[in-house]
Amino acid sequence: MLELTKAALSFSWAMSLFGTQQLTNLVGPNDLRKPTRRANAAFYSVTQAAQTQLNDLLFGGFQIGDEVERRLVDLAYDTLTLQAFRPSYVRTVSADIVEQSRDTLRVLTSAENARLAWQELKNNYEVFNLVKSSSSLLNIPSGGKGFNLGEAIKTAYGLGEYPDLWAVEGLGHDYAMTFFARWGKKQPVRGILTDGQASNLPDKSLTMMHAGLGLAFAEQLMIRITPYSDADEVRGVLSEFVMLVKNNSRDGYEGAAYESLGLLTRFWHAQIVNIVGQHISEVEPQAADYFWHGTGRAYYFLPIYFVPGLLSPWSAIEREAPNEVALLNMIAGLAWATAIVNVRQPTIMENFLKYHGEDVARTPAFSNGVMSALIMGIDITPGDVYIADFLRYTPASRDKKTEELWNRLVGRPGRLAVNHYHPVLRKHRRLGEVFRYQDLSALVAGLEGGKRLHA
Amino acid sequence: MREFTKSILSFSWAMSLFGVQQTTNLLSPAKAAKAFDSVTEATQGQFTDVLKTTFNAGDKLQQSALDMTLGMFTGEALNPNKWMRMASDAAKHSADAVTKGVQGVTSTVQQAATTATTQGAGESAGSTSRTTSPRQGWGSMPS
Repeated sequence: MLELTKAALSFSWAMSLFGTQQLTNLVGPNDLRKPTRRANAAFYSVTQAAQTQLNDLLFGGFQIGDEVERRLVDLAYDTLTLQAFRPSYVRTVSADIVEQSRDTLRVLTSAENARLAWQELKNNYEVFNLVKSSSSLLNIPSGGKGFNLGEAIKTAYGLGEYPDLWAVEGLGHDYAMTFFARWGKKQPVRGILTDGQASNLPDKSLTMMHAGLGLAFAEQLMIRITPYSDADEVRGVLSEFVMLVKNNSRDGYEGAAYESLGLLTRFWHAQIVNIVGQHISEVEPQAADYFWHGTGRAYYFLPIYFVPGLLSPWSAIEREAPNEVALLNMIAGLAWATAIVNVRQPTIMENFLKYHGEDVARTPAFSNGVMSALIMGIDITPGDVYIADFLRYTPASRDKKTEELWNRLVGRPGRLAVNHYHPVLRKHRRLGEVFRYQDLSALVAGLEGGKRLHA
Repeated sequence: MREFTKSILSFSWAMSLFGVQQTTNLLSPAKAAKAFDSVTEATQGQFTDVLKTTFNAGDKLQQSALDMTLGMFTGEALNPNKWMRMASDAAKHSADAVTKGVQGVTSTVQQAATTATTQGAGESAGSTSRTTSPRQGWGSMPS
């Protein structure tokens, strides 16, 4: 208790002085063109430190409140600067509100929709917990001493079809973190997933082990930059990330690790997404698509979109994507998460298509995301019964339009992906490629010497 | 200014939730102390040298005062050596803070003088270059 009292006193004293420091930052800015930059950077760092101490519920509360506050501030400033009165602005905001209200009403007014929304929420929470508590589920020793990777993989697969996928991702993260002590001492970190215990990893575990590896690297590196960091600093951190991925991944699986950078950045450091997106394309152009795919995947798990029907992540990505390529990757990433998280209940996907199918059918990105998710899923768990059932599913609704959308966007492309594309990608060890948006048919044709298969 | 308003609001919201979190952490005081330390450390990282020294001086003083207060119950507070050490520590840290403060002010003044001199020279150089190349100058830079 004495230590706690001392810590509380230090904290209060630090906060008092922080006020003084911020006043100084504002009165004597380093750069007169950006007078609040130093103060903003200081607020950001302390806010991040406080945020990392919050439990899941409070962290969710923080993200939701923060997002709402930011939107209200934007609205207030737009009103003050009269931008809010421009017809295009009013039209966009009204369309968003109408679209959102329609979604919410749909969930609240139909018992079946509410049941599916509840099921989706449970799936989402289950996945979040599986990744987060993988170390306790897999009995990973704290500090990583005596870590037996082979045993941990067996335990992960022992959890059964569906949990295994998420547990392997968490395991990849935890295994990479055991190298952190060496990394923290500035010693070179190489061969995490190629050498040592990892040399005996089963091929089926590699995609999500790489996703977990990327998650660990991103987690440690992204705390070094803020929205106010210099361009050189951001590029330095991203170069280190790219180098770590290259030095520790197996050939053909790097994409899975790159993708996690987007996931983690959007989830924990939303304010630096565009900065990272801009610089990653300069540091490693190949990694940019994966990055945006990962940010799309993050939207599915963000607390503000966690409750289906309240706020739509689909509208959000259209609003927030900085360019067309990023948008396609984000749609594919979000479709990826929607498909794989709800693979055990195809009715959730059917219901989604019933109301949003026409919208997502406008680009091939949605189908691409579903195909990639199924390829990854069947690779992690060969013969997965849930994926087999998902592919055999025929929409229960008598609505012809929904049935057609299902077949066009999910059924046919899914079967093609699992039965034809997956074996080729596995044979050529190019499974990391599915973690970004691209024409899978062209990729497979390229690998097989020009033979193209179509959905 | 828009970003600044957002930063303040984010910070206030995070601190409010941090308070709630610490209330729930009271059941495990070690965890709560660690959380306080972590945020204190991040805050300290934002201080200038002068404020860092001031923070250390004040922190030391209040921790010693707390030890002495609790020492009332164990008799430690009656030890004159303790009082002497606390007073000398406080004096030393305060002197450090003042020295750092003076150094800080001196370096700021020097820096301002250097900047003014450089700007003067730069302005004349700028006027020269303006005559040769009208695109160069002191206009606003893209952010």
